[in-house]
Amino acid sequence: MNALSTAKRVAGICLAAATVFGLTACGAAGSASGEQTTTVTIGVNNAYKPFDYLNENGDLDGYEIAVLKAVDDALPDYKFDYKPLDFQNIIVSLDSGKVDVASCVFTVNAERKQKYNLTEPYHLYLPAYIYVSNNSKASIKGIEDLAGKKVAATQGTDVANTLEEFNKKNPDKKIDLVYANWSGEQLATALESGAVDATYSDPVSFDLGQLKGKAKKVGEPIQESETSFLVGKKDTKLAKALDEGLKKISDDGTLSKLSQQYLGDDYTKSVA
Amino acid sequence: MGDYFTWNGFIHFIPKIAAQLPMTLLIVGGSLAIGVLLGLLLAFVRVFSIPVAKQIAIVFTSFVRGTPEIVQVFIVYYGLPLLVQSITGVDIDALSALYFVIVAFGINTAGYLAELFRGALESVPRGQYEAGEAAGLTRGAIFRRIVIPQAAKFALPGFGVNVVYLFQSTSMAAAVGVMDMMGKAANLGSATGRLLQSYAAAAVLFIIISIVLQWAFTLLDKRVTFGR
Repeated sequence: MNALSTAKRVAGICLAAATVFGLTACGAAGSASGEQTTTVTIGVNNAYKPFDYLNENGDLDGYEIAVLKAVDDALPDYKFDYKPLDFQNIIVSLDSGKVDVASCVFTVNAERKQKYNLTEPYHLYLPAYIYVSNNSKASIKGIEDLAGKKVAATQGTDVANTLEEFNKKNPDKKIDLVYANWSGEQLATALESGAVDATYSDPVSFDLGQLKGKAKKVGEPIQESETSFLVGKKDTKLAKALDEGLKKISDDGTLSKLSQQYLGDDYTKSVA
Repeated sequence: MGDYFTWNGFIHFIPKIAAQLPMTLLIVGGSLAIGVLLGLLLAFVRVFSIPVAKQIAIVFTSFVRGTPEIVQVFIVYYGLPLLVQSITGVDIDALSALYFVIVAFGINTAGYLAELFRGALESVPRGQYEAGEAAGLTRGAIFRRIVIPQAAKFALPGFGVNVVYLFQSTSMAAAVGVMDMMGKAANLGSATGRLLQSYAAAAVLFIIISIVLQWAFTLLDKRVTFGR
C-alpha cells in the first residue's frame, strides 16, 4: 500500500469524522429548543474573582454564577448553559447573538439601558474606589485630583466611562487613562514602579487580588453602581422571566444569603 | 518575586497544563487535515492555470497570508454563524468554539501550504511529465506515481516548518474560549493570581513539544532524501 492511498484513506476518514461531528452538533442544537425547556446561553466572565471566574479545576464559580444558578432553579421552564469568555468577548458575543445573556458585573448606565434589556431587581450594589500604591506620596482624594495623572483602566468598564466623561467636561484637567488588559500582577507592579499613579476597583475583588497589601483605597467612592445582567433588546420574554426569577430569590432571602457567602457582606441593597 | 513566581508552584502547574495537550493536538490535527486538502486543491488550481479558480485562489491566498491570524479566528468565530444563518437559516452558534478554531486555522494553513505545494510541484522537472506520457501512463497515474512523490521531497522541509508554526499559533484558540494548553495556562494563572508562573510553565511545554516535532521532521527528511 503506497503513500498516496494511505493519504486518501486518512482524508476519507477525516471527512467522514467531520461530517459526523457536524450532523451530531446540528442535531444537538436543534433538540435544545422546541422542547419543553428553553436553553439559554449565558456568557460569563472567566477571570473576575469573586463574581464570575473559572477556578483551578476549570469549573465556574462565583457570586453571579451562584445567583444565576438560583434563578435557574426558580425558573423550571428554562435551562441555563454557561459559556466562560474573556471580558472583551462577552459584549461582542451578546451583540452577535452567540449568547443570550451576559454576566460580568455590568453596572447600569444610560447607554446600556438603551442597547440592552437590563434585569431587575439589581443583584449587586458595588462602590468603586480609587486605589493608589501604598508608598504613594500624592494626595488623591477624588476624581479631580486625578487630573494629569496616569490611571490604569480597562476598556469597556463603567468607571472608565465615568472618567472619560470627566475628561470631556474638563479638557484642561484631563486624566491620562492607560488602557490595557490589566492583570492583578501587572497592576501591582505598575503602581509600585510608578508607571501608573492610580487605578480603580471595588473593595470586594480588591481583597482577593494581587493588589492587597500593595495598594490602598483613597477618598470617597467614585460611584456606587447597581449591577445587572444584560439581555438582548429583542429578548423581552427572556428578560421578563429573568426578572421574575430574580424577584423570587430576592424576596425569599436567597440573594442576600449568597452575597454574604461569596462576598463577605450583603451588597444587595443600595447604601446611597 | 516570591509573590509572583515560585519554583514549586511552577513545577506543580506543568502537569495541569499538559493535561490539555490532547486538545491542542486535536486543533493542530484538524487544521492540518483541512489545510493539506485545501492547500493541495489551491496548488493544483494554480499549477494547471484553471481560468476562474486560479484568480480566486490567488486572492484567497493573499488575504489569508496578509491578515493576522487572530483576526482570522475572530472573523470565522463571529462571522461564520452570521454568514451561514443568512444563507441557510441554520443557527450554528451552539457549536463549540473548537470547530470554528479548526476551520480558521485550517484555512490559514491552507493559504501557506498552497504556496509551498505549488513551488514543490513546479520544481519537478518537466522531463518527468514527458517521460510518464512516453511510458503510456494516464494523467492521474503520472501524478500519483511520479510527480507527487518527488514533489513531496521538496515540500517536506517547508511542511515541517508550517506544522511547528501551526502548533505555536493554536495558542490563539484561547482567545475565543477553547480550553487548550494556553487556555488552561490563562485559567490557572488568573485563578491563582500567578500569571507569570503559569505562562512560564506553558512556555516550557511548548518548547519541549516543538523540539520533538522538529526532530521528527528532521528524521523524516533524512529518510526521504536518502542518497541525495
